[in-house]
Amino acid sequence: MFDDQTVSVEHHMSREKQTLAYRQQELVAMIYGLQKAHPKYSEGFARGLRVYQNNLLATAARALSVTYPVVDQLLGDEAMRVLTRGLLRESPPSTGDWADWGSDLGELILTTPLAQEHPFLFDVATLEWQLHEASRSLDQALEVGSLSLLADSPIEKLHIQLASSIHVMASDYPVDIIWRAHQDNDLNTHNLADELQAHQGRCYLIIHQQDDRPRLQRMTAAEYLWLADIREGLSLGELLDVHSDFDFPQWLSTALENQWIERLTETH
Amino acid sequence: MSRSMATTDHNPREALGWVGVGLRHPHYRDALSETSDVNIDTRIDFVEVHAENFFAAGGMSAAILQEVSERYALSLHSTSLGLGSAAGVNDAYLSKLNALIERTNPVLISDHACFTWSHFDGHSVHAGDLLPLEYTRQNLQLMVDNVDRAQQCLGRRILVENVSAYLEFERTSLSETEFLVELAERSQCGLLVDLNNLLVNAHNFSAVDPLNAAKQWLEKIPSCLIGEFHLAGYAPVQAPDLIIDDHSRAVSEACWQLYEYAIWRNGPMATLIEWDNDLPSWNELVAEAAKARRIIDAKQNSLEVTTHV
Repeated sequence: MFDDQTVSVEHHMSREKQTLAYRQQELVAMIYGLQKAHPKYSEGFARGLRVYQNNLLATAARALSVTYPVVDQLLGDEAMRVLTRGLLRESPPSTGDWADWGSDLGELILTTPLAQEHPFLFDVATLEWQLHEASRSLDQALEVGSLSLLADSPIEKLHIQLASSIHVMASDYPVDIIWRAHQDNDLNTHNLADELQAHQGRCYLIIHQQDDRPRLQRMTAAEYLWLADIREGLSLGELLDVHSDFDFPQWLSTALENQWIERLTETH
Repeated sequence: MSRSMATTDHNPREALGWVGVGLRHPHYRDALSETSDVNIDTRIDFVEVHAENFFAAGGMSAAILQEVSERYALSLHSTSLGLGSAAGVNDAYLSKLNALIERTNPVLISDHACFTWSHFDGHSVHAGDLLPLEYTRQNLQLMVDNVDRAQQCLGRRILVENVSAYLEFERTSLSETEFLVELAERSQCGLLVDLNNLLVNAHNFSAVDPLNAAKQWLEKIPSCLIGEFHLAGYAPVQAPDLIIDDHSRAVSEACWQLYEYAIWRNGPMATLIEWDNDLPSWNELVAEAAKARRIIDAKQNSLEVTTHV
């Protein structure tokens, strides 16, 4: 995100405003550690600058620990501070709401030795970001009337619109077990190690919001692929063709119970 | 302002003399289970929340805020309008704040006299803090424009708060009070005077008598421009370290003295107890609010006596 050439200002500003924008940008760059304080600045300035630098790091680290509580527990304060510094530089906050910041933590982890030490860490970070997003989504209640399309419309024209909070993920690691194990303060590392050892195959998860809270559920590979194709925009007819053995009535019942569906729609 | 104040349910003078507390996550349950009590000292007139914490359109935070707003009058205190930013106020941020205001109809809306936005490589970057301003004519004009734009967009008068600063700029031609007074007069915003910030700045910038320096600062602000006071405490430090405005303690004794002076001089004003770190129990927080109420009541009683004499 930041590089040495980026200190520039908008061209449409007046010259005075540009100069001011440049000075403000210079201070932000110094706080982010992208630019050293010029020797012309006093010791008092340097002391004040350190306050802003420390505040930024502390606020950002706190934001990450709220969004990624399990990654935070797995890595500890020191590693999280290093990641926080890196993330501030690579993907600085841009919305004014710290809850929006940090989506690239998983990608950043992949560039560090932590990814080798904890191969499941990227997937745990992905899961936590998806839970975080699901927790903030505005899910609409099911449009019950749209279900009548099941009886009234040709399935080739029928589409399932999923709730906006839904995320799905597949992992080679039982990330749901790792995540749940860290929800209690009395984490039993021996049991967790046994469960990780016993895990076989891939883990498929659906993350969604229900009753204002984020939920995490396992699903089968068939359900995962079915959901992926719904998101690809396949009609119900196409879905049933591609997934000929899929138990749609059973899935529909589960989906309605879990508030996974916002509405059915018909294309013309 | 393009939208008239009449479009809102709240009159800005409505909160005159109200006492509130900053509502933080660990206190949600207590705040919502508080039953109305005959003991006036437990009464909270309003709660202030940090607007960004409730920008999410759905989920638990939105549900909680809905419940809170049904029980208490609400003050939305935002930290990222960045009204002094030469890069301008961030459109997306303004839009989210506007949506939150429409959902909650707050009695007060406030932000800070600072800058928070800059641009790097064409991207908007948030500074992560309330960064101090150079008090110049040029910056004043810029801030008047930004405040006007924010008020037009939000359809409401906002209060602008003086900040704690850890840097001073040589390129300053106005005093902070001259800057804020002219800002309020020209943009029609109100001022949120944070008394703790006055004391922190006075300490950090070597005032011989910080309390007296803060009183002198207050004397330069016309009462009619003040819409709210913030009271807080801070963790003490050893010189030459700077005091950080961390809101981690009860309101300091100096801040209470300054508040008594402020109320004596300006009359009852909406007052908020800020406590954001190392939080006390809900009851302890409410007890701080009760202290502020006693000071307001004493002033009101003296006004009544004067009227009747």
